[in-house]
Amino acid sequence: MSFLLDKMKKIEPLFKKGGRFEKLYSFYEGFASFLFVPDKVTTKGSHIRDHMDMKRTMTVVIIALMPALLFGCYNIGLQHTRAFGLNDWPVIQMFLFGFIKLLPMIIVSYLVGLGIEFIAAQIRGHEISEGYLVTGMLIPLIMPVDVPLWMLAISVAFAVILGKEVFGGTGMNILNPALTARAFLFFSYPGRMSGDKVWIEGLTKGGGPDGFSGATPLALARLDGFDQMPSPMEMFVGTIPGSVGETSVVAILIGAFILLLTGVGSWRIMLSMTLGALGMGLLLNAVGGNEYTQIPAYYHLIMGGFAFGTVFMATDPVTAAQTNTGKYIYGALTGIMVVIIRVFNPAYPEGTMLAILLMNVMAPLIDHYVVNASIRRRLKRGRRV
Amino acid sequence: MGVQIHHIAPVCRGEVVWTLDVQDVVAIGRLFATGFYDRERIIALAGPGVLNRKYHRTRPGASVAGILKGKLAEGNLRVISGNVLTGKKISTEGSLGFYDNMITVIPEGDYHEFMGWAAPGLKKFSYWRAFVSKLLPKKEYILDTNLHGGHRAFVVTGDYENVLPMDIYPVYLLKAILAGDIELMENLGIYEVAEEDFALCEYIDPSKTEIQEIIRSGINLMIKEMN
Repeated sequence: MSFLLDKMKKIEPLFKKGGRFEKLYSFYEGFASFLFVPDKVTTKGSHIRDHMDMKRTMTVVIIALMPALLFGCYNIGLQHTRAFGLNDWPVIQMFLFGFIKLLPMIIVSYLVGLGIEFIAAQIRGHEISEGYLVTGMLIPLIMPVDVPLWMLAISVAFAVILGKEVFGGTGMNILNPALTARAFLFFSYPGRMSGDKVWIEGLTKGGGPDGFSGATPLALARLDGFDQMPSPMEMFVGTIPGSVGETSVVAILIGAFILLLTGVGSWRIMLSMTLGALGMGLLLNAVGGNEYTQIPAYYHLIMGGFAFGTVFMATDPVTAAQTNTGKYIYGALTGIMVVIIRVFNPAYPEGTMLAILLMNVMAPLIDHYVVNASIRRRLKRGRRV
Repeated sequence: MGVQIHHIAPVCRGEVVWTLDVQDVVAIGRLFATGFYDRERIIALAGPGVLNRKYHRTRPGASVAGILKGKLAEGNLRVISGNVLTGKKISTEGSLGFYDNMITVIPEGDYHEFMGWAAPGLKKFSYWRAFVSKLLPKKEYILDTNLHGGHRAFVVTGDYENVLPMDIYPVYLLKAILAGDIELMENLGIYEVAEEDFALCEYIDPSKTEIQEIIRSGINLMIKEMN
């Protein structure tokens, strides 16, 4: 690889200050450090540093997303064949169909998002941050497959600029950027982001069989009552309509396993959020009231975006609570909020997105009280002496 | 040492804590036994850059040139007075620091690694469980001075606390120092820490923040404020 290294070194002066392409330095630096870990050595403090860096952290999350992504491809094809009665498609054809649908979404998401990141890094004079590598993969996975690419591009631009860069970039944002993109589309173009057509490739363009409903389980429950919902097994495996990556709890659990094994995802948040939702579901079952409260508590864990949100969204270290005690509280409250929004809010069948965004805003408050408790312990000790 | 102080008798504002290491106790004992102040101490010559690792008898401030003579491995090396986490970089003719009990020599990490962040990491020692080496049985690793990444904002949470066994929130304290908020620094425990307490935080940090330097600047700011 020394040939490539020589090549990169040779063109480096062009991008340095005074060079012909100095405005593209962040782009050069990002690309060069992608290819080669820089030869920078420690100058102060600890002489040795861990091999772990931001690139590796983000890579682990992307690997964890792969099962959900691959299953999503297959499921796009599967739902398409079901809606159009194409019963003779082999699995590989379904997968390729989905892959070809999803690829442009991923490309648009990365092009727009990374483009903005490069510009922001150049303006600030920072190195390009890797945060968007994960966000850019998350965004296509939480969109309906039929979302137009221009809408995707706008939502990505909105999320990256207003959700992240205005706060100072990766590490400073308050809201999860991927969910910000989703929420932006949800409130700007509600017709394209929910209902019973958008979840299956081809239906919004017309041509689907009459009377075929491609509604997600949550929308079905809302529209036609709970007896219309798919079986728990189907929801667990994920062969149902829904956002690209969110349907299969199995695939998401594989991702969760990877995140927990490597320690990149917070088990505290995943555990407390699951318990929070389950507990709230059980409580509502016990209290009763309307038919939404009667939905079995464990359904909440396998329906809609709960699994995906718990594993990949709520655990975002930047927007979640940052103290370990705070993480338990944050996770539990998020889980509770998911169920409350689902059950008590007739306008939105899906509560995970809103619950996580709401708790993102609350997280600094939770941390504030946890840190204050530590401060109080210290002050008390000071007085005793 | 900061950890022990924190748990036995935490430092409060205006208090002074004196510390002694074993070899200092020996020196004091020797003073009373013989009447001579003799700080001769045993130091270790360590690290993968040394061919013949062994103990030496010497004094603080002594030149390391004689100790290192003929014992260094080939290549670009860094000589450290002290350990790899908190020691001070010195030249091959430098001298042993006043508080140091060892001289460490490790290879400089001034090399480019192709796609290093994606490699499985069989030979990479790490705190994090994101490397294949975690699954392999214990073996010896060679640590060098490469940063292994670029500087980023704080992103990961919860792990700094794991390597700082005190009732202190390291990232909050660091941010308070960066913001120059004196009262918040006091409240978050600036009196109880020294930069060496944060050495492990700095070592594991995937954002490659110069944590010890930030802590020192915070302590200096406090000293300036109190005078």
